[in-house]
Amino acid sequence: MSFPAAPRLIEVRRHLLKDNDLRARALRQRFRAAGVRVASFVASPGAGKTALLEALLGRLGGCRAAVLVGDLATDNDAQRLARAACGRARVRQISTGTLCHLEARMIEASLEGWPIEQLDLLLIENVGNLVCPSSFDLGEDVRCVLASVTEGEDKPLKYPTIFNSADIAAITKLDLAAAAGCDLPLLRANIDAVRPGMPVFEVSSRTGDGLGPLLAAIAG
Amino acid sequence: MHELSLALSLLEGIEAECASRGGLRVRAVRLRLGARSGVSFDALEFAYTAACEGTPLAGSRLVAETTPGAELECIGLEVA
Repeated sequence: MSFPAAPRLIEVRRHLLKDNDLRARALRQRFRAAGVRVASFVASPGAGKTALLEALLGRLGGCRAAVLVGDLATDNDAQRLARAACGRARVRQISTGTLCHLEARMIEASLEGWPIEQLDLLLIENVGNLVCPSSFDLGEDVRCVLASVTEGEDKPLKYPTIFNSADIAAITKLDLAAAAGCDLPLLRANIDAVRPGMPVFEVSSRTGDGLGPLLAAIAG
Repeated sequence: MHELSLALSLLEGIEAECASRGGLRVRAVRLRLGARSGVSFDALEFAYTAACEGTPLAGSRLVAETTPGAELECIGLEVA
């Protein structure tokens, strides 16, 4: 009579994001060596990521910048940003197809042929999504999460993981706060509850309010 | 949807591990999955099963030990 062999357990230690993390680390080293500061932006669709980048691009002065922008389909945002940059910044679209987030390997691939050592600042607009981008390090120096005043003050409580993955937060569409009935102190308190001490900037891409301090935090 | 990316990354990792040990028949993959990892076990299991099809890992199961933190790692392989 034979018994099936008992399963043997082999101990393995491997982070599921190891490949992405290694690529992100290599990117970060490359960016440091090239002297380029990298900021990424994560938010829900329609929170005003592209509008914010358009507004920031208009305020960069002599800063040499480039933008990578991720979307499932269309290059609409890249076109908008290229118009806003007026030839002063390179803009490249990353089409993710069905993928809901950017990964480090996509950043690697989209930098091909770009002389990054000639840049001061690289801005990365992630796919509009408050869930998936949180797990994927892109090699950025600073990750900015956006919460618009039209989304409801409890967004940070509903999506704590992405707020936890960020370094700074921007409350966008400030010019609409009164019309949307947004309780700004409550929104700030909710961000602070999820990520205590994270710097929060209140901005309006339309009026330009608050963009200076945010740009200073992004550009380091 | 990002669970598919993670499942593919997990699969690659296990295949590399199996290759480095001269080939293993994996029955189950043990994970440590944190509540704050942003990953749903059900979605990951679904993606893993789909990703394994047609590979030597087809038929293997995922077993997760849940933790309160942000852990997201493979901790062991049950092999025949």
